[in-house]
Amino acid sequence: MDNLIKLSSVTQAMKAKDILKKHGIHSKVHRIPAKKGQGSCSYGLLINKRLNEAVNILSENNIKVFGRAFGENV
Amino acid sequence: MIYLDNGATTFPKPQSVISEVNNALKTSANPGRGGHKMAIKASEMVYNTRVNLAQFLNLSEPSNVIFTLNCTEALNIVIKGLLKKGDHVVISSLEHNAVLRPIEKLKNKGVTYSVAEVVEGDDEETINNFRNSINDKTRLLVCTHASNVFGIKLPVERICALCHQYGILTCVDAAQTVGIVPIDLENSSIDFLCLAGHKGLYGPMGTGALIINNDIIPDTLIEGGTGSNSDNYNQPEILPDRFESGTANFIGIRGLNGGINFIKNRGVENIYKKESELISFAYNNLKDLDNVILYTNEPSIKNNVPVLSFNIKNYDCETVSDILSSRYGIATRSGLHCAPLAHKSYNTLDTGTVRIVPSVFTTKNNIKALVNAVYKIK
Repeated sequence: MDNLIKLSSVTQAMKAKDILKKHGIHSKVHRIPAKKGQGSCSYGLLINKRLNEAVNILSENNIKVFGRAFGENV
Repeated sequence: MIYLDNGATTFPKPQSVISEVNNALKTSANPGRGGHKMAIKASEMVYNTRVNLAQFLNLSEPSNVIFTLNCTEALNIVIKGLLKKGDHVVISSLEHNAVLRPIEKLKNKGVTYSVAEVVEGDDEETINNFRNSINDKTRLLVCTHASNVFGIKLPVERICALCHQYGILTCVDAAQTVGIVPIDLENSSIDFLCLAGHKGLYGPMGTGALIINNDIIPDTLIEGGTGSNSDNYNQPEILPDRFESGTANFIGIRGLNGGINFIKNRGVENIYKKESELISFAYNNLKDLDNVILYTNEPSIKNNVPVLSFNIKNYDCETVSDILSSRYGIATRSGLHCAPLAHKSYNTLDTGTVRIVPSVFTTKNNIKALVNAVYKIK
């Protein structure tokens, strides 16, 4: 799982995980550490497949995605 | 001990609550903070409780379930987070101090309020009284779902629908009703529902919730760390983080989850029916005793929740409660029950009352024991 969807909070991440699960997309809640110049600590979802589809599903369900990271940038 | 003080907190707690608390104590880390497995697991357990409570109330958005210390905190968030100088608020004549005191305090900041009289057994008149209490400055209605002293149930859905006609926000204090009276927020005019977790939901003390059922978000009472947006000096807007600063009562929240499961298994309607029958049994036996003073009409599911107040002639209510405890091993609650407005309405402000509230664990024999004990106090 080396794709990361950045979300606003742990509750949003949990909710997003549940929604994606209903669509058959497996994900894992992951804490996003605070890094200098890259915003603050929050949570997101690690996903290994269907990333674009997952982002679209979350948008349709009013879950704001704050960004994505791939590979070593996760 | 025969425990009839379930209006203060339910006892005993179900095994499901004890198991959840034990499990949480053995496995917990701080939810919503770290990224290690234990922290993520704790976050998931809190979230699942949020979902469980949302489903129980037929609320589609679990993020709008805000865990609080108790119902009082939830009410304070709504009252102080919404009302500003010049605003007017309507409350009922049966409110608890959890509503009255925050609003009294706001009087110093230019907030005014009116008290709508609840007419027992006459919903039309009650609703008329609410209508007549509304003015062009009214921003908020705060109304108990049922009196914690006399068990009078208010037609809150109709009152809230009326308020919406006038563009007024609505807040219901469900401390004495959640887990006993069915609540469906999906088709409701209730904007803010405040509840206790340790009464009808059988969770541990120190649990409560504010349920936000609209898009209006109150200002915060406290600010602090939320584990999110940490580089922002200002409190986040997102729910539930906005109102859940600091470490959560993880143990209590998980106990509450066990309580909700217990209620779901038993069925709210079944609990309501059983406890109402017990209160009717108590009422009908106590009313035949010469030494007893009752204050309400005969309780019914339509008009009441299972809460009953009484006094014994020539006895102070505190003395009666002491005798019931020390001689007969029966736990009741005496005094004003933190609800002076309700006592004012029933002319019991000077005397207080003895209050009994059954739980799902109360038996008919428990009520018989109470009636026999009361009979002997002369």
